[in-house]
Amino acid sequence: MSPALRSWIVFFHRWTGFPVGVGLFVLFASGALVTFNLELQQWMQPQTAILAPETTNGLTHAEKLLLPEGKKDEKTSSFLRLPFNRDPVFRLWQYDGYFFHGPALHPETGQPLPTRDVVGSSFFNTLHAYFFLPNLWGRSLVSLLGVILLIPLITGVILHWRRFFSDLMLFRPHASSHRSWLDFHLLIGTLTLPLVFIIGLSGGILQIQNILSSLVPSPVHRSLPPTHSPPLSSKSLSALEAQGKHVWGETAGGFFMPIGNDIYLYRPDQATFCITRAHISTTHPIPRTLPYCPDFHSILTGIHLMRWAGPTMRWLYFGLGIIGAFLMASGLILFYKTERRQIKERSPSSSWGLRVIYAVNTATIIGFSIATLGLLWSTRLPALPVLPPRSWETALFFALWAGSLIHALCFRKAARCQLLLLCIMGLGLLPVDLLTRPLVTDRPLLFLSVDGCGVAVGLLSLFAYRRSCLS
Amino acid sequence: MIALCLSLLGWAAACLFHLSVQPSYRRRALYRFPYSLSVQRFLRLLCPTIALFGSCLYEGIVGLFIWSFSAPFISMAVTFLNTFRIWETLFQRHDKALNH
Repeated sequence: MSPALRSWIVFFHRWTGFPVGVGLFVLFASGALVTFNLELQQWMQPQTAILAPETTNGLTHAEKLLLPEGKKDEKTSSFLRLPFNRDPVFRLWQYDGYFFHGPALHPETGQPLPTRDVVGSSFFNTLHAYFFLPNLWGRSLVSLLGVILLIPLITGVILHWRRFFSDLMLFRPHASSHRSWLDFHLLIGTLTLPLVFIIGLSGGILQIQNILSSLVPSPVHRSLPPTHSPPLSSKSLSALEAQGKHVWGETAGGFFMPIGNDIYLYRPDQATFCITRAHISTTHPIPRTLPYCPDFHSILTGIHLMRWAGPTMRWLYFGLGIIGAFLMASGLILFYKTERRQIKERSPSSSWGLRVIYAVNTATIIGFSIATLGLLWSTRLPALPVLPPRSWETALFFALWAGSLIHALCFRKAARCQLLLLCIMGLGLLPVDLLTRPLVTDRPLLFLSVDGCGVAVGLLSLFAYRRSCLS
Repeated sequence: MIALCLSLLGWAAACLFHLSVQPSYRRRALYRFPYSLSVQRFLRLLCPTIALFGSCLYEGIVGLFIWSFSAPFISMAVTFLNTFRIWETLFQRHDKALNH
């Protein structure tokens, strides 16, 4: 490769990698959190972390809340999700375009649990899917990021190709700062290349498909074909659930949704690799016969959303999301270091361009982590009375994130201060958790895992803070 | 869990063989397996292949995902272990030639 061509490729890699890396860091980190969305929901609402079997009595009471007497013919957008091993309570949820919200019901009694109305796990879903922007714009941006991700990936492989295999496991932490960051970036980039490629591309294509399907309105679900089987004798949810168990074998995690004068039961997403949303209703108790993966979209959802995954696979996917975020973070840091060197060679005085890059990097890497931990803290601490809890938590998240950016724009050593704050917030998550929930819980591992992740973030930021003090 | 263990073992072996066949002047291979390079290169391919078959046998298509997703984690773990010379501490091997 000629030096001129190489320098052009380096230019493309760096200048596409920086803006894309900022967005992709958020996508990877929020995607990692979405992997454990239901567990985070329970962490935010500790009263829902209970182990109790679902009973017919519970379902009957939940039915009364889903379809209140006298209002059965009214249109509602609520649905009732059945308990399952990841989230063992009934959820009577509504979707308002940003959040799933509604009461959690006890699986044995069907009575509402005394929980606070929190942003819940759907906050990270929305952040991951469209950045809280208007739906079409947000989805377009995310799909664009997923597709443009290919440019830094391909240019990176071309640049590193000659030593791709020989330097596959090379890491020199005691070399110069720039060299060790480059080694770290290459190490993560080469080892996760196929997975990052598949996940990024599948996410991008899924979003493009979602945009196209939103432009061409289609019914919420495919109507059931005429059937010769008689409708169910009872219109109760219990009868429909029994029929679902008869047809599919398992309905835990599925959901009931009233549509028109009928009630539909959807098969749980985790039951199959591809999400098909197979359903039955009281008038059509036999589902349509669908292939295992009916179309390309369902295969992509199987690969990207991984609803079928068990705990082992889920932890691996979570770890991969975090590694992806580290890949982007190391790229952003390298970009800043190279720009700083080049700008200082041209003019020793401080540059506003460099300051902006520094602030964007700080807000992306440290600010996002602070805002995430702040959100977790806010779900457990009292909310400001001037705002409803969900608005307060959302506002706090974005205020912390914006504050991080402004702080980094104003102060030269902002990253160090913010690392210290991140360390305190990460290490403080465990005491906050222990002080704001009953000590005895049915799912101690769940709380321990979230707190452990907070402590790990705290220790990592402490390590980074100490290194920044030494360098 | 068996699929995960098989995958981790297979990839770890592949990483160790990969490091073992690296030339000394790169100062990364802190150990040497006593086999010929061609055998080691063959084993480097064989170990993850066996792990793939094993994990697919136990878990079906999920095994394929576990196999592919576990690769970066164990590779990074071996890299860090090797970088920080934990092998030397563990096995008390001090090869002067490699420290140049």
